[in-house]
Amino acid sequence: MLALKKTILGISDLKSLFQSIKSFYSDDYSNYAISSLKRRIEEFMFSFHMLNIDELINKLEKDKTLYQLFIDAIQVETTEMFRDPEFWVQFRDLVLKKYRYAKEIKVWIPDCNSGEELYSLQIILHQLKMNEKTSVYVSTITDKNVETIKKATIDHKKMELNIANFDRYEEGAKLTDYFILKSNAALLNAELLDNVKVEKRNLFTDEHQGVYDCILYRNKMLYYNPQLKNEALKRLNTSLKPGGYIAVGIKESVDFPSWEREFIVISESERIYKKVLA
Amino acid sequence: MPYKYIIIGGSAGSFQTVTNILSALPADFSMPVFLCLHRLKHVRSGFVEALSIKSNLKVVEPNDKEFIRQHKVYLAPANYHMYFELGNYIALSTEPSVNHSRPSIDISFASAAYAYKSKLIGIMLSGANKDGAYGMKQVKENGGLTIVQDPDECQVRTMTSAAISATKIDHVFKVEEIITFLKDLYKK
Repeated sequence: MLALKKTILGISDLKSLFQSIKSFYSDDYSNYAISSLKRRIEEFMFSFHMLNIDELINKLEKDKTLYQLFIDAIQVETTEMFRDPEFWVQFRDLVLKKYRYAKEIKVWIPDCNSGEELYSLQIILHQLKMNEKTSVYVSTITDKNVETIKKATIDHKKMELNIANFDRYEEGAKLTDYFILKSNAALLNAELLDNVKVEKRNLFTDEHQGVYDCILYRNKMLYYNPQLKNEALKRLNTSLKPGGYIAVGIKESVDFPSWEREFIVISESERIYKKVLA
Repeated sequence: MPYKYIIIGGSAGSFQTVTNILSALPADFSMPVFLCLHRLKHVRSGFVEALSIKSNLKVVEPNDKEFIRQHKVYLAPANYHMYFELGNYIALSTEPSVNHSRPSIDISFASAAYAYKSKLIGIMLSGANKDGAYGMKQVKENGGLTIVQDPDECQVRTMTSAAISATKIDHVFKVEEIITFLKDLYKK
């Protein structure tokens, strides 16, 4: 059998694809970071044995189900819990503990494609006995993600790394205490998600003003171009209460003047910022 | 000079070689050098510092969307893939591992090959898996120059051998020859 060769797309291919998707489904991918998105689209075409961009465009236009699969394939899931353990230590000590005596606290995780960041947060809130007074809002763009996040089931294969990360976050602590172990997967204790609301919502179209005390937005802007990244930050800023906190990925920079005017650096290495009081 | 960017991939047994190359390049060596080296995912610090000790060029772990400048060495950060955008800046990603690796050499090399075409030199050093072979093929197919460290000289020869079987390699060099080649390039 002849081995199928991976198609390499050109910029004009991607432009036609984005135009077609925009006119058919009103979704706009033109401001995504091209280099990694290009690879994910190529992988998608490879897995469906598609040889050129016209074939992909034609099939997507005709087939809504295929388009759903396409969206699932080009989104990037978080692959591990307690990624960057030092971040979680600082987020616990420098942010969450500040709300220890607060009556209530609202946390938002926008653009959440899979639940790892949420589950990490929930375990820390449980450790701090802050679950009940914390409302956590998770938004994501597909129904499938809503289900996945609520299901809170993690493959054993992935659990090894999660366990190692958790041990780095807190030496000797056992991540499995928070899970029910099944034959091939681990299921997060359901009560840990009691204070969580998962909803389908788009950061760029639905506005919420000054609602949240904390926003977790780590490694999301990696997939945007500079223009969309700025737009995302603007929207997050609007949604954050004065005095609230926001965390972005440890390799994401926010060093532009308008940000520096409105935010105080809480942790440079872990990218935690506090919005100044109005 | 036809070449404007250098990308180096390596894994097990490549650290000393990378250090040797960096210490041999003069401070006014202008071409940006990208390093995609397999490393422990959870160890964030120490690598840049270790590479900097003997390097005449500034070594950095770039942030996402950081502009690419001359006279600099860019090391792919732990637990991120490193891509190159056409606007001459770096893009990082947390996509799943490729060839059990994040950073993956295949991803960085293929992305650099796409962005820099015939202006790119790809160099593959010692390593213990086949990550990078596909990337080297992309460098070659996009008109770039391919150099592989002589497998006989590598501590672990899997990676260089895989690159040699994946595509036509322009030069199979010992480390000293790689260094001479790069210095000559700079003189021209």
